[in-house]
Amino acid sequence: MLSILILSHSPDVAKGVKDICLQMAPENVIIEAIGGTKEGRLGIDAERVVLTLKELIKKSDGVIILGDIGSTILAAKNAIQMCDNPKKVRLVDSPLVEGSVVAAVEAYLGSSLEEVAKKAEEVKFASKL
Amino acid sequence: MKYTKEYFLRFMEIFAKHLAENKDYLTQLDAAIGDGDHGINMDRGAKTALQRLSDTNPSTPSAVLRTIGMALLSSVGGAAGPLYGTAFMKMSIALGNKEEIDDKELVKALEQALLGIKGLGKAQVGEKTMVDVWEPVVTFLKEEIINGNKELKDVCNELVLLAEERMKATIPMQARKGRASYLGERSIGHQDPGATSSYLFFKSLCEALGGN
Repeated sequence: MLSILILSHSPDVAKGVKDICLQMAPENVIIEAIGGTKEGRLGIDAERVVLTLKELIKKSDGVIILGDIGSTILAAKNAIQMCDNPKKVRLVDSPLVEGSVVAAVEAYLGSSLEEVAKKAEEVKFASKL
Repeated sequence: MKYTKEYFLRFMEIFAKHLAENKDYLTQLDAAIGDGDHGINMDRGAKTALQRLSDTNPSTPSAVLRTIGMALLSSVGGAAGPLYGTAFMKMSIALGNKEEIDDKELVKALEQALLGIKGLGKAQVGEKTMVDVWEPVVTFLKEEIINGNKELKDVCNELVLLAEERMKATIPMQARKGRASYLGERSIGHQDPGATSSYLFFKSLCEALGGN
């Protein structure tokens, strides 16, 4: 089983994106979302990102991480540097909402870590209109 | 000179004092080109670091720096959390388990911190970030202390002037990284908040020499 780790600057966005993913991928994938600071303000708790990533690496076959703006990507890169098994992690360059949904669905369908990361990254070239 | 854990504790107290005193100033700078939270974030991070140092009483310079790094990661919130967090973690790793650090080891640890910041943020000099202060200062320290066999105390006046000059040099730059880059040319004319807190970092390294 794979994990999807959703990171947002906003607690509301993180929760909302997770809800959308769970609607389409209710099982067979672990979905975690972190947004905002410890006090619930805009920002990211980068220490929690490290601890959550370590935990997801332990309990799943691979972790896909997606973030929205600046500090979430820096927090993700920092966590990857600090974890024991970075080979099991893919930080995906993709719009957060669309990329997370595609990653969740692919993981739910049983695709490999590489396939999920590839599909989620392809989202950035997809036209909505 | 030998740098013990007391030096690094003193450094953190002084850095925290500067961040508290400059909290509104840093926030104003960040409000002009970012999201207006750098001062509040760094002040909260520094206070969390002091609290954890007091709670856990780490026994080596490396352990002090690791404690500060993890505290900043957990409490800063903005991009400065991972960036300063990485800087302190890289310094901690570079110092190993030694109880006393010499000047050359300190500079090598600062160089690792700079590499960590650059590796994470991918910023180069001239892009209006903390790297605009860190890189010239680390280059200066390597030249004077590693090649020139001087000690930090011999070069502090020059060091603080250099850091201040490089901080002010970010004013005419256009931001290429982070939230400020969304402003494009409108980021020109404002001093970078991260470069400013970096100036306070290096100033604190020097002022921590004063005690004992």
